[in-house]
Amino acid sequence: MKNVVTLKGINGEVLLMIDPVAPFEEVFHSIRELVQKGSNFFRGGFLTIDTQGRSLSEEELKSIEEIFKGIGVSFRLNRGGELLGGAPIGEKVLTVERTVRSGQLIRFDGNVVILGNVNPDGVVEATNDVFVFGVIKGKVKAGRRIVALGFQSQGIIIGTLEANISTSEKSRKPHICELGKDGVIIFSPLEGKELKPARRGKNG
Amino acid sequence: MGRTIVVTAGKGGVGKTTVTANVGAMLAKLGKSTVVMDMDIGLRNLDVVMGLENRVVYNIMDVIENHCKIQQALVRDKHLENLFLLPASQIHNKEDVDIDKVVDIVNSLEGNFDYVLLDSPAGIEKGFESSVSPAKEALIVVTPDVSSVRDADRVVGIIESKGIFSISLVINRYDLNLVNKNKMLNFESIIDILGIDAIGVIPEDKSVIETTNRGEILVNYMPGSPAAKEFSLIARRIEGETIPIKIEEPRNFFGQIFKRGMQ
Repeated sequence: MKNVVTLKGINGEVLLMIDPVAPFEEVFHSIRELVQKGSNFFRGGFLTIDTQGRSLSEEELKSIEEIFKGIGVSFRLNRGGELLGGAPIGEKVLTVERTVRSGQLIRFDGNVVILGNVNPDGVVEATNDVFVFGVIKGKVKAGRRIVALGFQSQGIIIGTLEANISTSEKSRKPHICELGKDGVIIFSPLEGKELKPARRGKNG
Repeated sequence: MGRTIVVTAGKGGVGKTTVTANVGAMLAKLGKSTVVMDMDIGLRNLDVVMGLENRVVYNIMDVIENHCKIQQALVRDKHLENLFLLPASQIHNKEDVDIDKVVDIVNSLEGNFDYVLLDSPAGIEKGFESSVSPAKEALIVVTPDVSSVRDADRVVGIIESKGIFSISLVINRYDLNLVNKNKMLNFESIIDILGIDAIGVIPEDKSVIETTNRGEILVNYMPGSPAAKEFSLIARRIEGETIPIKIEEPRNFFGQIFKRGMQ
């Protein structure tokens, strides 16, 4: 019988491969069995789940997460050769719950969320996205995009491109700075991106 | 169990020593037994600012090297019964200090006093390290200029990363005349950059220099001066009173003449 779930080690990374067609019930039970048998092996680690093209629903993801949470394992998803971007469940996120101050360096492989400002001479570097719930006055480097409530930066770098952008000193509106398809940095207010709620007239 | 507060800044010359001496004296006046510790090993100043340089016999290095007991090294203030100075050594380097021993000294002082104030040296090297390590709270002193605020930001970052602390800000030498002319950083922008709560705004006051050079503590010698009044408020806020921060308009020229006439 073919295994529904196989465990592999590739380049020092632990890869958990899921059969793309087997029913989820079966997949779920196999994962749980695997984890129960080798909980010491998994404990506190990090692994990549390869769905081999299978798409997992939100609930299915949650139940898998539940298994791993119990033993402190974090994981990311690999769906058909494409690592999930954005911030899906399981994507590595580092949350910094204060202002990044002068002389501090935050470097992370994944996304970084800052609950505060990035002050002058503070540095944040992430391979994916950086979200700042405050004003960027220091240096921020991101692989894909940067979102912040204000840009008065000493340097914004997306990928390998440096952007020279700023917002007015008093404004605290979300702006997004990202790499466009043609390799040009696009800087725009975030409001333009969301669907505006339908407004009712005074009489409606 | 006493409270240990480090007074630090990063930048030099912003008034760490003045703040330590005056806040310490005010706490003592409020009836709290207080020790002020000079941690600026090799460049000691707190003893001259308090006018106690002639009474110093032992210092903190003597305690660390077991030449004397802590009680022998403490110098009582000239005027205040329950204010004590633990002087620094002038012939040692900051690198000579064993941080664990400093922590031990502070711990034993905490058992006998209500407050231990540590006067930190400028910089973020070993001297800073040894004055921050034993403390559980911090007063950050800034003057309203960009270099001081930048250095304070760095210092706050280091202190936060040590996982300790309630950190409060003392803004020193605030000159409302210059602020109103847009020539000095104002209160709001300092708070905006540093993101910590202010515990006092001390106005620019020439009597500070005068009293310092006399070897008297301002709050003892000229308790009516604007800076002394704010020091007393800071001490009460440290004690837990809720007093809102008010930045007073400086009196106009005629007001000053009138005040002089009253004295």
